[in-house]
This record gives sequence, structure tokens and C-alpha cells, in this order.
Amino acid sequence: MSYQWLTLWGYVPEFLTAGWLTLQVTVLSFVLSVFLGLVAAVAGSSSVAVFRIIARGYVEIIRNTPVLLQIFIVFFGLPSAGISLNAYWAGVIALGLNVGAYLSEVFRAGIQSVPRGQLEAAGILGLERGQIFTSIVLPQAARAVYPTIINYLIQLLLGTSLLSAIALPELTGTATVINSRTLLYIQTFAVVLVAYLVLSNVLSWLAGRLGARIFHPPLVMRPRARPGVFSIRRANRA
Amino acid sequence: MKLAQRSAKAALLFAVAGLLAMTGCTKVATPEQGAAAASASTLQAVLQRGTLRVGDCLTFAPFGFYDKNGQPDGYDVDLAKELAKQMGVKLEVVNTTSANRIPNLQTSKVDVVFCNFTRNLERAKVIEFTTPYVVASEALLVKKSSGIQSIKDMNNRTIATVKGSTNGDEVRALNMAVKIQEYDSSQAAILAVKQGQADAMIEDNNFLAYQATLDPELTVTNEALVPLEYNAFGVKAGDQEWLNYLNLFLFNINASKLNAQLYKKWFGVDPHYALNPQF
Repeated sequence: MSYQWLTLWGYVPEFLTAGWLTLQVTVLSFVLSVFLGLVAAVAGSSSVAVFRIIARGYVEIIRNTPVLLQIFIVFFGLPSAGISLNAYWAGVIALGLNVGAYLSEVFRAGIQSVPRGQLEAAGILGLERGQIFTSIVLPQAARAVYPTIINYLIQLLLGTSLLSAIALPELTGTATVINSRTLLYIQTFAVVLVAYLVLSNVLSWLAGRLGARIFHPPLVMRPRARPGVFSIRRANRA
Repeated sequence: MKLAQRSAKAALLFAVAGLLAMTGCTKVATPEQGAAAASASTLQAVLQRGTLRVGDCLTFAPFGFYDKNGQPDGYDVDLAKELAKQMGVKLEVVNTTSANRIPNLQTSKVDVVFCNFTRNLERAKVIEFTTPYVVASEALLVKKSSGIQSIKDMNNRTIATVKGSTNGDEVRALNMAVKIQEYDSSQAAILAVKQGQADAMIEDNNFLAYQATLDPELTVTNEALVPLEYNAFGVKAGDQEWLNYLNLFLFNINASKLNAQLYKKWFGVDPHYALNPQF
């Protein structure tokens, strides 16, 4: 029995490479999704009808179709339109697009949670629209939604496992490949399960430390709740 | 977070890891345990149940696929229907993939696996094979416009393979500077070649010949990349009675030429290679 674990030990470099790749894709697509979420949230409440329609359309389409399908379309479908991406960037873009749509709803709620009185006061004090947004609305909205978007970061980490379908050698993909080579299913899955647990806990902890630093007063995060509608309501109440 | 809470979390993490390590230390299905635990052979179980569950890869035309009415069809399925008919039981075709053929057998989700299963000693450590029913070699599926004639042209290019099949190992054994992408199904790998995500795909040449007839842009290279592969049925380890029965079935359909007839029906030509080469 122990020879089985020894066989698996020989694959540690592959697991490490895969874990590093998973982290890279998670962080890159998270950055993209935050950017897209902000843009879509602002455009969604813009006075220009075209922006509103595009933003709402983007959010509705993404939120009502399966993410695996979206990944396939970006990777397998786009080449027919002339855009050929490798598995890495197709994964980053597809996941970024997907989570960005969900984050736009979160940001919209966060922005609306800033009391109207402050906007009016800022207007009276002569601040421009742009300044009001970046100096007053955004910091408070960010503070309100921070725990929720960290939930989505963890969801993204777990969502990278879907990229195994487009042959990206991230953790889950590497696990299934090593499985088929060694036929040591239980051991391989155990290792990868623990790897995901470690990665998600490390990311949560880092995010918690970051939250304590960048917000004044420091944002204390309660234990991670389940993501979804309820955490948006909590952000609204905060 | 408080120290107590953090310690509790860490302890839980180690507990989970420990539990998983313990499950890893339990054996899955060794021959001795299998024979002792199962009071009867799969053969008796199938006859008792009245249904034969065959694991087949229904994404691998023409071996197995879903026809227009959503029913399983293909060369493997025809053989399965013949086996069920001979046994006098109903047939249930269970869709499986290259990657989960073996777990399906080990956990008795299926009674026998077809699916163009290549015999090799690594797999024979965990399951058992019957005598061969079809012989194949491997070739490359490429776009006609790529100009690739053989595996030697594949330096610094990408090749798509299917997880769980023997193809990935064969490409790695070539020791060429070729990038390997491993997909969940052969359909995904073919799509990758069509869309230019990969330059070639390596698979059974019978299967590729059929695929090339479906798409004028694709062609199969004219080479045998590996020594001939003798593909067989797979059964759970430790079930000699079932194995004997299946081997007798195979002997009969080969002697009566039924196997060759079915092959010609699906691939359009007579089988290339002899099933029993006697070296």
C-alpha cells in the first residue's frame, strides 16, 4: 500500500506547478472580474441608454447560462470568429467575464448602500461627479461589499477546476491526468482536495489581512458565509 | 480571528486530511478480497438480475454513439446486443469515458466494459482483460491545410490527446518537443484540431478514419505509430467464471465470422489485422 503513496510522491512537482497555475488564473481572472464588475455596475445605472442596455444585457446573459458553456464558447467557439486564445487566457477571460457579471450586481448594491445625503452634501460642497464617486462613494461601497467579493474570489478558485475541460493543466485537470496514468484514484483525489482546502484558506486569510489594512477603521471579517443572494442583502444592511 | 477559532480550523483541516489518508490506505478491490466478498460471479449476478450492464464510450463513433433517436448504437453496442441475446438477458448500455472505465468496473457499476479497451500490463494490475475482439494502431488526425504528413513533423507543435487512454503515454514516450493537451473526450480533442487549438490529435486509426469521412477538412496520416494494439473487454479483477464465459462468446463470434461482419458494417472494410497472430 505504501508503494502507492511513493508513486504519487514522484508527481509532487506536477502538483506544485498545477497549484501555481491555478493561483495565477484565479488572481488574473479576479482582477478582470472586479474591473468588469465595476464598469458594468456604473454603466448599468448610467443616464446613457446604450451603456445601460449593454451592461444589463451582459449581466443577464452571463448569469443565466452555465459557466462551463461560457468556457467552451470562449475556447472552442471564438476561433470561428477569428479570435484564437490558448487555454490559459481563454480560462482567465471566461471566468473573469462570468464572475464580473455577478460582481456587478454586488457593486451596484454596494454603491446604492451609500446614503444619499452624502451625495447631496458633496454636491453642495462643489465636488465634481467623478470626485464624488472615487473619493466618497467607492471607498464606502468597497468596504460594504468586501466580504462578498472575497467569497467570489474563493468561488473563482474552485471554478478554475472547470478549466480542466479545455485541457488547462490546473489542479483538477492534473489530478485526472495523474489518475489515468497511475490509477491511484483515492490517493490523487485526497491530495488535490487538501490542496484546494489549503489554497482557499490561504487566500481567505490573506484577504482578511488586506481588509484589516486598507480600510480605515480596519475591516474585521466574520467567518466566511455562503456566497449568493443572502450575502448581498447583508452588504446592503451594513 | 481568535486564536481558538483558528486552531479549531487548523485542527479540522488536519482531521480531514488524516481521514482522507486513512481512506487512501484501505484497499479498493484486490483479487483476494473481491473473490471472498462476492459470493457469486458476475455471470450469475447478471443472469439473476436479468440485465447485462455494459460500459461503453458513447462519444466514440462508430464504436459507440447516440443515434438520431438518442439510442446507443455502434460496433461495440452491436456486440453488446449480441452478448445479451446469447445470455438471454436485457441489455443496458452505460455511458462511460476512457478515464472512468476502470473505476466503474472496480465499483461494480457495470458488469463489463467494451469501449476499444487496449490491453496493457499497467491496467491488468487492477482489472482483467478478455481475449481481443478488435485490432488497432494509432495515427494522427490533422487538418489537410496543415501539411503534417507524419509524427516527425510534429516538433514544437501541439497535440491533443484524451485523458485515460493510452495515447498520452505514447506521445510522451516519443521524447519529442511536442506540447500535449489532454481533453475529457475525443470529441473535444477533435474540436480542438478543427478550431486550431491543437495541430493534431492522436487516436485509434479505425476511429480517425470514420471521423475524417465526416469532415472534408480533416485527414488521417498514413502511419502506424505504435505496435498493433489488441483491444478487448474489461472485467473486474478476480472473476474467472465471467472471464471464461466472455472468452467463449468471443471465440464463437470470431469462428462464425460474425465479428468480422459487424466490423465491415461499421468501418466499411474488412479488419486489417488478424486477431490471433500467433507471433
